[in-house]
Amino acid sequence: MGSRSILVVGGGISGLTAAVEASEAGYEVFLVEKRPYLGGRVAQLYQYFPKLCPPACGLEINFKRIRQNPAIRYFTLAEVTEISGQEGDFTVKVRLNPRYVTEDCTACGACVEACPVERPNDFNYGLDRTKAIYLPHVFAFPMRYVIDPEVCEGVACGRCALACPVKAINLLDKEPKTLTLNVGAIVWATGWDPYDVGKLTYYGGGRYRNVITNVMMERLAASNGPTGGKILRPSDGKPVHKVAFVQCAGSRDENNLRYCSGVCCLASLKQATYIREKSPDTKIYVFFIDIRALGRFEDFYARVKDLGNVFLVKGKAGQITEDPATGNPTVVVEDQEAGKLLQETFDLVVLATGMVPTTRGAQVPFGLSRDENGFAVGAVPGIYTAGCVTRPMDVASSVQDATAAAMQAIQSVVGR
Amino acid sequence: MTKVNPEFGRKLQKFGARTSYECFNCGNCTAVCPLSTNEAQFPRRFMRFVQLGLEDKIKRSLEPWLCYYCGDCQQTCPRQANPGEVMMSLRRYLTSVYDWTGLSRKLYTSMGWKVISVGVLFFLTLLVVYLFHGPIVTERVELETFAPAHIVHPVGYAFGAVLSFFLLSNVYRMYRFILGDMQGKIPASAYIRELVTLVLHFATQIRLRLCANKSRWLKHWLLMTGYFVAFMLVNVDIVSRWSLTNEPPAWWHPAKLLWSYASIAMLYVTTEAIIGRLRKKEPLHQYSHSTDWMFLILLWFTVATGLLVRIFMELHWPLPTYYTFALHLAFTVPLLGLEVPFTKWSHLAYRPFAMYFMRLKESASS
Amino acid sequence: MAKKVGAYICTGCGIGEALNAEALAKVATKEQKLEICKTHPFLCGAEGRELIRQDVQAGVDGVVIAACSPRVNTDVFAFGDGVVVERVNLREQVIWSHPANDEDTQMMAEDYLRMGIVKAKQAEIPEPYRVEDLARAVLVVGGGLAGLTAAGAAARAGYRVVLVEKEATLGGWVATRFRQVADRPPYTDLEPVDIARRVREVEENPNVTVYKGARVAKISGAPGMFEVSIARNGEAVTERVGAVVLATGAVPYDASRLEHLGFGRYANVVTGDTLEEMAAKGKIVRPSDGREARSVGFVLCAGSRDPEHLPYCSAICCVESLKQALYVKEQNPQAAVYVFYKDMRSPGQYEFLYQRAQREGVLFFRGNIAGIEEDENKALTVQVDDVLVGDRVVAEGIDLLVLATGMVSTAARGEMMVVGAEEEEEKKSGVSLVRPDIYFRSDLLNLEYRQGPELPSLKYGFPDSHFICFPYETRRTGIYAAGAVRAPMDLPSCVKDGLGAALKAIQCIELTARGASVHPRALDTSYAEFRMEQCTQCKRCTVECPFGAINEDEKANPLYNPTRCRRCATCLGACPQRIISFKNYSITMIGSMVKAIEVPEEDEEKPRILVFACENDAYPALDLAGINRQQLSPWIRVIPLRCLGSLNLIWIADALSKGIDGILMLGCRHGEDYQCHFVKGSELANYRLSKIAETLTRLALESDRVRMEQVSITDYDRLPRLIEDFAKRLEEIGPNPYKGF
Repeated sequence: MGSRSILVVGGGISGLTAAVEASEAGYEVFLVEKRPYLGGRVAQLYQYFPKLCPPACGLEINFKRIRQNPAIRYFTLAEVTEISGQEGDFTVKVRLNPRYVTEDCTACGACVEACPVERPNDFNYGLDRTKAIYLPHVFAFPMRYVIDPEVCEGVACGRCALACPVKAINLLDKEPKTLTLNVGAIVWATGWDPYDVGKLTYYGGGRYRNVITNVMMERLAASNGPTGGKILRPSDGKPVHKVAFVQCAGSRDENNLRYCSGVCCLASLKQATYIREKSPDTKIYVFFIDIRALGRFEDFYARVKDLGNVFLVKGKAGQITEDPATGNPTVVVEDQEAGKLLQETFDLVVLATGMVPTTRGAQVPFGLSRDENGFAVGAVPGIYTAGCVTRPMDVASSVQDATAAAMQAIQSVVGR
Repeated sequence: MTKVNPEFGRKLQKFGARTSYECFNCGNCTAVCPLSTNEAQFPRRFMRFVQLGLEDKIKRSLEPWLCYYCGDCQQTCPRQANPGEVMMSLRRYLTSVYDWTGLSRKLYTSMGWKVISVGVLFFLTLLVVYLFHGPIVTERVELETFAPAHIVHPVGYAFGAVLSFFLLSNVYRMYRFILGDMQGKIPASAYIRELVTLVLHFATQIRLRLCANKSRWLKHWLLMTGYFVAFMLVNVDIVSRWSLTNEPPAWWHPAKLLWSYASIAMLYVTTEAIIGRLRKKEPLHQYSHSTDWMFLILLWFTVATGLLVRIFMELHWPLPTYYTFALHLAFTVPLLGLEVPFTKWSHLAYRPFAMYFMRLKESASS
Repeated sequence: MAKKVGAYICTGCGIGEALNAEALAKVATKEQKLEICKTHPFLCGAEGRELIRQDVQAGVDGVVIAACSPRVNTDVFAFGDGVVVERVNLREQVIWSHPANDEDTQMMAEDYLRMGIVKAKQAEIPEPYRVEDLARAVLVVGGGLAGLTAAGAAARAGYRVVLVEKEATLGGWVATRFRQVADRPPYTDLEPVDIARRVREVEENPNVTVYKGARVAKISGAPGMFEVSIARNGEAVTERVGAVVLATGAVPYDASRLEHLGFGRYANVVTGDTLEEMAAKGKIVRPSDGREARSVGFVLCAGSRDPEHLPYCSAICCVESLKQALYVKEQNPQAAVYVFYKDMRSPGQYEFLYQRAQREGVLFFRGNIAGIEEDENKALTVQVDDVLVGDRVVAEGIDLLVLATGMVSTAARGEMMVVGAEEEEEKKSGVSLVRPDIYFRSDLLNLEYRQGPELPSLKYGFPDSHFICFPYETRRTGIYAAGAVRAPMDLPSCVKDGLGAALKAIQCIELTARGASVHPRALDTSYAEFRMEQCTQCKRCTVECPFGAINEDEKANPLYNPTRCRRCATCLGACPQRIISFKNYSITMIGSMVKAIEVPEEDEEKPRILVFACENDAYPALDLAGINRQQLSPWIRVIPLRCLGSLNLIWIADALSKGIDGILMLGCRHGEDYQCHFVKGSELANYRLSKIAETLTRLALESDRVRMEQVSITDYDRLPRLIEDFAKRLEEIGPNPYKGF
């Protein structure tokens, strides 16, 4: 017996889009997300380029579409563990990891005050801490608290459960549950991870506190981030007067990521506008090989170039060193246009680290073929890929890609 | 304004630069290079010159001689374009450019020329020894009798003079290429004053210490001092018959100690270099041009046979001493004859001269 | 109208502790005369929901939930199609953003409950608009890669497809290519173009009707019932379709305008298209004498990234030129190949192609071209100021110089029309508050739409979406642009785009079949109704509708097309006669909410500020202020609007004449980087605001009493200050003199 249902794996912008678009065309959709909330990486961005608009705006519509549409069912803290069957009739096993907080949670926050344990806040890339019971972020959908079992002391403590006015915390329900779904087609959209800076030893390998990554920069700029939207450097919380963006930190590099991550140029130009907006006198340097602002993004590039206090330097940063006394990083770079060897000291350096597909190195529970970099290649009949698992791409391209994948899934299940 | 020569890259491949096309000119290498300065930026710029075949710019540059192949660029190059090796190739190329005889180019680019040149000098030396050696005393070791001073010395002087002529004339050509168009602007006093620079860099290769890996400088310095000590001892011997006598000197004889130092230092460093090049672990050793092997092999055998001669003398084995001495000469002659003015060893002159010329250039512009 | 309304007050989440629930209940029962008003400590729990469900079964068809924000528990508080649910946001916007057990907080809660109840009383259940004989067919205009993909996809999904191609054969631009870059590892192979297969699949599919050598002469109607007139060989064919995919692609920039790069001046300067032709014929030669080209140069950004020509980047020229450079190397590995570029734009895995070209000895020059000259052998000399050398370098003896001309959207051709939304006399003032729409008479769709014959262009003639999150949105419902017509893109993207646009077209048909709106109010079944007897033919609705949903007859009567409508209600806001309404959203409904606000006497010193908040961004931002426990002014009363564009000035007049001291309009950012989900809503609200000064003066009121602010969803931390500033200004002005009238 075939199924007309579609499973979407990954609740980031690609997965959300595939799910919503397919369901609005009249198909039943299951959306499975590993994190405790939907929205994925884009939820961690401050703004999108080139419009400099908040991702929460688009996510809000998508969440609204999900809330209003009974044809979509979503599962957070859920992972696909097994796929069997074939096109038109897949049996999928999904592991539902415990949240310890039931649907009764009203997100009142009483539990947080009671909780005695802290953990690094992964939503803010470790730039601050949360309690063991936490709301992933202020726009979280679903708006429900979650407990990190890694640090929670469990029943032995139990203070949150006592504090909860609606008895929505169940510390005993520790076992993951398994859900079995019968679907006709699958869209795999598990997204990307930022490249591990630990491998960029010549840039400090993550040891210098004031050398951060571009994803951390998004959190520093975001008003729901660790600094409340002020761009302060991590070592001492001081404002920044001189900031460098180091492009291709890992990308276009045979020793790291061979491919171009496609979005970092625009991401850094965008982040330059964050700094420009919040502290207009700060000098901003962008060290690049090529500025890849394709299509109409050229306008954005031109705009940022003319902002003032933004210096685009053709030359890849060679080395970063840190002054242990001040925590100031120094960057050496060959300014090719000026024909000079620059050695500049900054308050903050932002590494434009690239995108690594989550399909790299990970176990993918079906015969999906991958290239040497881990990107998905081609498709298994009935299983389609979308977003950054296929190639590095920006948000609009991910949405485009996901809509296409949804169409492929529909073609696969139509008539069943 | 310079003309592009698309053929140049291919030409330079023969000198060992196989990867210059990989470079996308990010400048990472120049930025990580501990030796590159605002005034002398490399290697990226030279990768570029090679790609476009800007021979004129290359010929006028002294930067290749300022590069000591620390290998940092090689390790971090995002395109694995081996900038260090391309700089090395440029040194080989420049050596051939400076050399007016054309032999250098042949040695670098032709396997046949290499083998034949080494072979001819090797066997020619053996032939000369065979024809002109003195009486062979078998009761005891009498090396001086075997190699009579009245033959060895003039031949040695003549050989040295020829090598010096070639090398110095090449250095002069180097000077013309680099400073040709600013000769008039350099104050004469600078030529004298900057001799200090020349001597300092010749004696210490201090720039190599700027590389992160300090042991390389030490090794290079060991090799260099070993070579220099040996060279001086040969000269002293020639003049004074200080140690190369039929009567072996006592163990504490300074010449003997110095010889031991020179031999062991050179043998150690050469052996290590050979092993390094076989293992290809360090960036410096990953790419070996045929002339690198030629140099290492000749040097190793020269030193090894030299050491063996000493050992056999100590053991009082006359015949092995003579034969090994003949072999020693047969290795030494191609080593010195080909390497000093025409290939690898010429850098001992070009590098300090490059520093010297750089100072002169600065004095011209200041 | 809901016949029987029940109010349900939740005392959970601290509501019970912060507010007097009994007093609230009294508002419902005593004042609003509701028979049913129940209080529950945990309304969203199973027991609470059951409580309501039982009442619904007993005949309640209007449910007022006085609890949390409508942004949460939407699914929990849904009681079936026949029941109006009105949410009174006591949690986020009352107790979380105001002090507990405070008189003002209680007054606010009571006001909100009143407003909710009056709204619920008036709201009706929308009846979906059904199209008679809905056309489940998709028109695809353009038979290139994107169009063929869209046609094939829609057909395979079970829809009839009408494909119109102006040329005699299908295949489009891609068919003129000799090779394409393989989109699979190692991503460096050049393979035959994959177009014949797609053409065959479409031509053999019985679900697809192909019109070749044809053009779309006219499209009238609306989603679900477009009437398409196709002109072919002088005859006209009519087709009826439900949705349209525009995939007419792009054309190369006119090389004759690139004389400074030698085109037209020198025989051996050609465009990339010519090179493709030569490569396909088997030999790349010098046009001047037909000899093999042993040295070939490529000039990138020929026309692109150039303010004199195309200011944008054409996105594919770098990769196309890399590919063509490899044609030359494949023909003759010894050939000298030069590429003159500004930035090498080979994103993603295209980096490997760049690498391959470098490895094969293609030489790259970064910098501005200083001169191109021809020598006596008709070979070319290119001088370039190479940034990487830091000097001018000269490449001589180039047999063939290829210009990588950029792409121009087919929608960017033809006469440009500028259509403004402002009144004629306002336009003359020169100060434009509403950005005019740009159309090109590109002869692609020939829409019988009041607002223009083609898709409005965004920038540089591309009819692209302005929405990063929703790249397929155009401003004509049911018409989706795909491929290079909407943005410069590479071949794999065109394929994706064709698939995506096909899905959007299908989705539009399916939603239309259900009588529901498409994005962004997807699934909304309400639609506008016009009381035509009161219409004065002022044209405001037809001019302002951001989606061209309203046509006009010859007497300037509005002709509304419900299936084109996105339900933003901009028309409702625009109409001075107030004849437009939705079953669950109308002038009177919002008006009665305004009237339900109790305005204390002047001496009580409790001013009132009415906040009209866009429900998409500003309203959630107010919620977030609550979630973050930001304290807001106790004087505000918030009414969410579908879009600020739906704000009718009568509400402002109502409020002011009632004694409300000030009105704050919170809408999305407008201007070039607009965020309004309905494109022009907040901009039009701003325009209307400019006209209100007149009304205020008539009422002898200060124009400062009405203020508009642009806020985004993340501006919740800015809101308290922003509201406070307005309250301060009102304090300066003094109380509204109409209080108590």
